[in-house]
Amino acid sequence: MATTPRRYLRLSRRSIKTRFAYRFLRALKKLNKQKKPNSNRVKQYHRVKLAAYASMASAVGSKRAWSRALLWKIRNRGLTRTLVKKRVDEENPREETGFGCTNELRKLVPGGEVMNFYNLLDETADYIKCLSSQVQVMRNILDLFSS
Amino acid sequence: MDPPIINEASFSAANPSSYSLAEIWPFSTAANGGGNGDLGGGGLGLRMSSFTGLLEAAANSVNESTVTEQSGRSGGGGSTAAVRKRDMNSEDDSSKLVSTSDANDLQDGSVAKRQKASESKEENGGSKVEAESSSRTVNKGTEQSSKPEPPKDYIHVRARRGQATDSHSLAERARREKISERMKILQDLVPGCNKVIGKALVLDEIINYIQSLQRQVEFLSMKLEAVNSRMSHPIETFPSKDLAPSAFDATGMIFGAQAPREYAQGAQSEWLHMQVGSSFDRAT
Repeated sequence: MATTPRRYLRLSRRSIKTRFAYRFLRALKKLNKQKKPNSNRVKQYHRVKLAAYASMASAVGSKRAWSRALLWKIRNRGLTRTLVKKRVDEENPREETGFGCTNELRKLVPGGEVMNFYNLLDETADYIKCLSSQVQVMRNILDLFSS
Repeated sequence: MDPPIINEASFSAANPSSYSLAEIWPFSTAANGGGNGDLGGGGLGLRMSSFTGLLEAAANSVNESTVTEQSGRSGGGGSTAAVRKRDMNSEDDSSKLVSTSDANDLQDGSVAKRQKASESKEENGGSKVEAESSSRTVNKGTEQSSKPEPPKDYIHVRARRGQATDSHSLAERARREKISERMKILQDLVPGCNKVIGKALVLDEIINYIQSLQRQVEFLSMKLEAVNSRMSHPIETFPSKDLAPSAFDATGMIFGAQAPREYAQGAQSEWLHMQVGSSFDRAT
């Protein structure tokens, strides 16, 4: 299926996939090593999920706003936890300003609340691409492990 | 039978008295109806010949000159070309032309641009040539050219008839075009989104798709956690079946070291994935 004009596109996308896979596997290995014997499953699951998002964001790099936001969020997790609580209180006035689905989209895309609408759409497109490739790679890894 | 096309051109030259309006418009008042057909046709050639001369004069002068369009009319007759001329006494008056077209529909890409020439600064008297022609049916949109010296609010963006031409609405229109182009890209990305019509519905589809992808990530990470806890060294069982060996380059190691370390050391497992937006408000 690789026609000649598409080759470069495929190559770049694949390199993001491989970068993500590499980071994610490293993270899994590290998780396995650091695992405490009495840590519960839910914590482990959250760590794995975090690892997936963090490796995706770092595979994309800092050229995208959503990946920057995601990395920043992960690095300052202790800080954001307090801010999240504050944000819940002021959520209602924020809801009323915009119209509904845009606000929801802003919540879904990392860092989307400070973008204007045009950039939000731009970042959403890139985020969707990366998420779908992330899902593919994770599924591949899972197949590999379970087989 | 009427001639099919009437062009209207108006200029305000610096000294329009040199081009006497009386010779441009040999008839002061055109009659209505079909009776003026040959009269208008005869005037057309004269108008065109004086057109080029006036163009040169207009290029030199700083005055605004406007050329307004006119739409063609079919042979149905009943079109009116009324040319009024009055007050030809002042020396430096500029002709002001108001042209309206009553074309009901604009097809074939003819841009209808109506400009009302405002009074220039030096004019005091002002001869006014008012030409208006109405057409019942448009079959030939005649092209009009606008002159390089515009009035102040001249804008280069094409506007259809009836669209606002002030700068705010033009900027708004450009922004909307950009957004709709992005929406088209997004529609191509999200499967099954091409058939959905309407911006809100498309956004709904996009949101649903992102949520489903995130749910898949959660599900897969749950599975992977279960699998990972069973294995001692998962990375050794990682063959390069579907992943290229180029993943193991040195740069990947360097960059990959940062983020996973940070998450791994974190004590809090409660990380709300998508809910940190307001912290960015604070940070910036």
